[in-house]
Amino acid sequence: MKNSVGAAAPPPRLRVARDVRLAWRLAQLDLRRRYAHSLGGVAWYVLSPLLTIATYYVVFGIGLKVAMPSTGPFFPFFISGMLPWLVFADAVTASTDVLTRNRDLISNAVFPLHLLPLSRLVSAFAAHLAVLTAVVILFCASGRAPGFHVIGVVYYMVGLGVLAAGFSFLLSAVNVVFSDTREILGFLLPLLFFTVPIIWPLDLVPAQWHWLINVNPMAYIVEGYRQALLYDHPISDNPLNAVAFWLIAGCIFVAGRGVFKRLQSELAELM
Amino acid sequence: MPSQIAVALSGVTKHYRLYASIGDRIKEMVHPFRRTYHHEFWALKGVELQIERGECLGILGRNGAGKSTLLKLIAGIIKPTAGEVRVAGRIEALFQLGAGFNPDQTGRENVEMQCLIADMPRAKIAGKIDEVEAFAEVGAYFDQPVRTYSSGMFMRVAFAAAILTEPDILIVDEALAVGDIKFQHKCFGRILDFRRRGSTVLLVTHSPDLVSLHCTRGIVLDEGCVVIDGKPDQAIHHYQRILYGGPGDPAVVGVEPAAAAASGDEPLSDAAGENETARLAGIQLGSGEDRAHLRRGYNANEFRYGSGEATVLDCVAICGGQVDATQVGQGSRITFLMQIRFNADISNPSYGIVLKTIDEVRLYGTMTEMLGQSFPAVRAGDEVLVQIDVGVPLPGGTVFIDLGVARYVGDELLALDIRKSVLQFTVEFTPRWVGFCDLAATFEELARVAGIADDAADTTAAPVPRQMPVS
Repeated sequence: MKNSVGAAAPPPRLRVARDVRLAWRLAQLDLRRRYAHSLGGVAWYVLSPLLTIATYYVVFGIGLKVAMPSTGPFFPFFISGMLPWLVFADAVTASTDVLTRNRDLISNAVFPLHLLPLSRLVSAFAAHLAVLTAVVILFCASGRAPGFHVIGVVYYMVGLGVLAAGFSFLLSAVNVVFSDTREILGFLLPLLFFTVPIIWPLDLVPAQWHWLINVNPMAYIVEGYRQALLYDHPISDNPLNAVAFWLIAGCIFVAGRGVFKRLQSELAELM
Repeated sequence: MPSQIAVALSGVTKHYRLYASIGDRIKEMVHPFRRTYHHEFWALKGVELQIERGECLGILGRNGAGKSTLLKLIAGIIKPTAGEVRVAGRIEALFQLGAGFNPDQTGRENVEMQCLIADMPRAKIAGKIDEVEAFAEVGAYFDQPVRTYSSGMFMRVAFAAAILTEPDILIVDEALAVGDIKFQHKCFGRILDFRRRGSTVLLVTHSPDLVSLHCTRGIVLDEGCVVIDGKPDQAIHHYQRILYGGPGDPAVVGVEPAAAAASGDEPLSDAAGENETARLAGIQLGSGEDRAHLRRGYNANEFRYGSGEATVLDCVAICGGQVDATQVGQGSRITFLMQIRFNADISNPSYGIVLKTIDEVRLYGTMTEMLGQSFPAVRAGDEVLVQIDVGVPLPGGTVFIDLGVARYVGDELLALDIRKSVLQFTVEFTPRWVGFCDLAATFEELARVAGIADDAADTTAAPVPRQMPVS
């Protein structure tokens, strides 16, 4: 048998089952650890994003009175777009330093390293599901119960997962060599936030520039969540946007996985 | 590859690129003319090695000889620069402390992780975790984050987890050194079980004792090459030669035998002139001649090492008035004489003796330092005759004797001249007892209760113990 990481592991089919179990357990431990010493405990997973949303709402919705969408009130508009952004930012930030924080695991002969960024992704999405549920309940309570097409959220979530996974692989690997990555990300993410139509409606931009906004894969996800949660629209009424998204997300994923794999063989020596 | 081979390395070479800084690494990556900013470090050079299933391979070598690199290659953590590493089976590796465990997770969670990585069925995991908890004996710490552990606790949990997940190949890199002796003993018991089941053990250590006790084979690495591959004691001898250099290194020996004979100190002349035992034993004090090889019990395969600041010239075993005794009775006492010439001024010479079995199991060993006895300082050129009396409460069989002189530099023991297995003798087998040593058991019958017959009238009365004098 050729020696490689996981050479001693079970055959590939079983290995997937094992990896799923392992990633899930890692995510569980990660979830528990993050707020292990706080009084609020697990409740923070829902509270913290809701408080963030509330802050943004007060500043941009009430205080600054950003241009309102033509289709309805600001709050549901904002919150439905903010949800996917929060999970994206959370997953990508959390996985950037996952390798550098777990140096000891890298010298573990048999640990499947790619599960580290993935487990951060899983825990971010688990928290996301809780927040999403809370928001849906909130919508129902305020008489905005989502229609049948809310099911489209699942599709956008998968898209978001692929995109976030690509970035997680890429950034966690790059962060090992350049530990500045995390700092750079710290100011790049908020910058990116304002380029995505989350706190401002797309109509704010002249129609001939919409492609420039839509080419951003996060814009596709944000708009998608909004369509499904708020406007009860079916998945992607513009197939061109879908093609562009999957092309870009796919490229980022393949690149991220590639860089991660290439670096994996060198990691033990770097650390 | 054949099924009985667990690990096979062919032409394995590994070099590391060392950069002065990350800046250099980036510069090299982007340099248009491919200028190199690193220097290369060759950790391994063309290693050929085959390890069979069920072997326990001891890997010896100085720091930086390439031991850890070799193990990391076998474990698959790093890839060889050239050559091929083939491994059959699942590996568990115990590397330097901290490796492989997530410090933020508790011992229990980490062990669970290991089980999940080993793809153990869910039903088995809980039982395994309990087993590890029981074996490691760290008490309530098992549910505390690993970063709060002492190195000993960490090792206990890591070892228990590694061995109880039943890998096919177990790699132990120095990890056991931090444990207490009792736990080490427990671990090696497990390792033995483990080997009986056909698993392979790779042990890296600086301790020749561990290799001689537990390994079936030993290799020595030096500067990235396997310099010897053979029986454990061969490997140990070679390793010690690398460490200490050969005996009588010409650079260190400074005093001519003639000068030594002339110097004649007071205590020395006492011993030389008036010691009857020495005369009978044929010791020629002041001769400066190495005569140990002329003794009847001399072992030509002795191994000798030391700094050369002293030379053990002659070794004699005397038992029951017989000089050069090679057969001794069980329970008798033996007198050893050791003649030493000092080639340098030594303020604190410490003399030592070790008795061991043919498979290097140490039966007894001590030094004057350990016994709290100190001997007067010696000057270069002095010759000293030391007498050592020991009992032999030993089982029948061949016994090898190490004799030597050393000195302490701080806490470290520096061998001046140690002659390992310089003498041998046989303890006659008288089947009075079996085992390792005579614990002088005595037996005595203290009480006896007469058997009660079935038809005895009063069976309810408690039997009263009675003294039963043998009549």
